[in-house]
Amino acid sequence: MAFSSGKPSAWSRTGRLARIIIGAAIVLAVGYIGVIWIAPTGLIIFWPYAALWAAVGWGASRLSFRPVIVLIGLGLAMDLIVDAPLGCWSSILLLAFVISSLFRQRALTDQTGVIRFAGDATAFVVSFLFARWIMGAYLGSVETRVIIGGFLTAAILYYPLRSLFRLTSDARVDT
Amino acid sequence: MASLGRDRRAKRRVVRTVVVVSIVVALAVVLAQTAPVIRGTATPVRAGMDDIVVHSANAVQNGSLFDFGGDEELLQEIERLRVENRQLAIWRDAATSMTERLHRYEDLLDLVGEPIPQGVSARVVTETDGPFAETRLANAGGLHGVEEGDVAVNTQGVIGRVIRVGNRSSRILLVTDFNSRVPVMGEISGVRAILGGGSGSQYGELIDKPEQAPFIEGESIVTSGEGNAFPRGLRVGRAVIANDRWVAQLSLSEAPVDFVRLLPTQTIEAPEDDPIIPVPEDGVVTAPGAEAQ
Repeated sequence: MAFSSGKPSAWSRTGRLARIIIGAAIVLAVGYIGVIWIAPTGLIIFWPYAALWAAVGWGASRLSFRPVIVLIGLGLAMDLIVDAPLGCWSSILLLAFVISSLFRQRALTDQTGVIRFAGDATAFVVSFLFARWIMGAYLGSVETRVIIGGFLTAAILYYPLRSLFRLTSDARVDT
Repeated sequence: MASLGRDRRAKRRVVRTVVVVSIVVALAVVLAQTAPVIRGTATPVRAGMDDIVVHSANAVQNGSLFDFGGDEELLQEIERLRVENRQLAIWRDAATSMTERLHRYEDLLDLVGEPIPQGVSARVVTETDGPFAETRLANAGGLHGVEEGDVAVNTQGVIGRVIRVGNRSSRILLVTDFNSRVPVMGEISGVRAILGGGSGSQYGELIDKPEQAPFIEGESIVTSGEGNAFPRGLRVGRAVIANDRWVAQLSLSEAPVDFVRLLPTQTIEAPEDDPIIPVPEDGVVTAPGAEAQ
């Protein structure tokens, strides 16, 4: 969040733990709306996998254990809700997290923001390919149609929402 | 300052290693669950989560948040239903007459009738389709008499079967799921096959045909009752040719999956398992095991 008129905004004064809680609450709220309201309409395949926002966004911030634990928890909840094998979504989210974090150091010194964008995009693409691989390994078949909508929507909506999933006020993360 | 930087780098490395190890462990857990016994250990937790989702969905829907539309729409709907009701009354009379005639024929032939399956009506409150399972959650569970293996039907025919039961919820695996297998037959041709899912929501594969004979285009595909997983004669779809192959156009796609009836499976015991107890000459039938007392 940018500073305006010299006075720090409420968001920029928020600590890491509070941001993790807020991010997790957003993910749970979006997931809840998807399961309860959107699923009966049949449009659920376009509903974003909101937990990816947290995984990619938190990965772009400084690495720590707390987001990892929350991501594992969110992944397990997703596994239970969509009837996936336990551990499946946790591993996908952690992979997105670690891929996003790999770009962090270089992104801090990049004034153009291209590296950060590339990091986010790579995290989404690699996690999608990883999800496909797990499907193939577990089911013996891959039906990309089922997951591509959720990944695409998540990736598109991530860009305007990404500041809600930053655990740092460091403006260099999002130039 | 330099040592602070080193500490941070070391911590980053530790966290990153932990994340990578966690991914590997999670993958191992996923692959271990290809064994049904291991996957089954999480069933109570999954059933509990299903209960929570169904409870939430019920609470939301009972709060009238889905009441869209105005009076005009309701009046039109009422009028449409009145017309439909008048038309259905004609069919009802015809069905009543035919049922009476059928009963008379059955009496004449001394035909053993099939028991009418009892079941539970439920509302499908949400769908939780994911890459791994095409399922629906219904708001009836063990407390309402639903059991694992119950067959789910809607107005058009079979939609799937119950794979997990919570107290107030049950998860229905749709016939379109990749793992779904339903023994079926052509209603007219009698050709048998296995209906496999995983081909989208419109069609189902007809595989493992023991006979070489073709289906009849447009005939109903019904459950064959083999394996006692599904009662015989429930409609599943229509036989059509797509890409030079026989497939079933699923009845699941003909109507919305909102209300379903969950029917218990009816197993017909083999004669060896259900032997006739010989009647002794004095006419007193002794229950098995009573002689020892």
